[in-house]
Amino acid sequence: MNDADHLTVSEAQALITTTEADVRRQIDIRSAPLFAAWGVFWVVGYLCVWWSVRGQEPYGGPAPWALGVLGVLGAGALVVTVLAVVRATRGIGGASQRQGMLYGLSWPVAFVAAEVVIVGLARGGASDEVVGMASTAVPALVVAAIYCVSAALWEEPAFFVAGAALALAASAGVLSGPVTGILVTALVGGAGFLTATLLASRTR
Amino acid sequence: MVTLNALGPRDSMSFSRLQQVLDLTAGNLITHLRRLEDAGYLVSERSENGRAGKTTLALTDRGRLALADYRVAVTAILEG
Repeated sequence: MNDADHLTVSEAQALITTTEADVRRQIDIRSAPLFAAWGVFWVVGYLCVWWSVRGQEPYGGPAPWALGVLGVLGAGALVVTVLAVVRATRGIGGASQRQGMLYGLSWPVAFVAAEVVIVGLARGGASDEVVGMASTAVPALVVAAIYCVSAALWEEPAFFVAGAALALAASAGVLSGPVTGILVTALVGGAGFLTATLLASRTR
Repeated sequence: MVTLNALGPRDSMSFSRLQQVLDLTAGNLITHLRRLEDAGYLVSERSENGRAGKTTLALTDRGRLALADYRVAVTAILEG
């Protein structure tokens, strides 16, 4: 406050405004690069999976190389996400830190449960087709639900757009069958991520 | 104060992060923080974390109110 004593009133207001904007730029997590990274994972990864299963009759499941591409892209998007979160929230403690920790934990909890559900379906005698559709739709629904909640939590509509698109992709994918469903999931989900990226870029 | 005010009401920031955000020397920042702490506008807490201690800083309710009052006063003067 001492420096402000030597400023004119308008300079003081300008200083507050620019400082606030600068601080927000440093401590806010920019979601556009995250949507872009996960969009690449979604579109390219699932297109590779679809490419490896197209024409299968009966459905036998994705090729290992396609699952490998999906895994590498997922790992890359996860690294981008973690780096962005750590860079923005470093040194910040208190309620936001606890909130962020619980939010971060909700992802592995939900994904482990989703994986258990899919394994349970397979062990319960579900066909390869059903297991294949569940393997695409259930994780998409998990992400959709968490994104929609994220939109409410941070008042960021881009999350809702991506979440709603993934919910649509999951349901439309299941209705389209195991092979076409993967293509539908890739394209509809990808369109959602692209829209979310553009929206997040414009609102930041 | 503006920087700490940008955090949530129950959040704090480490001294090293605040220094990085404001791009100030440690000595300069300590001088500012001491004045604000003496005025009751912020609280600092030092925790021993292994060999290196860590200081965290948070605005008090009084500090947030003072900043809000200051902004209202500045706006009122500018708007005549």
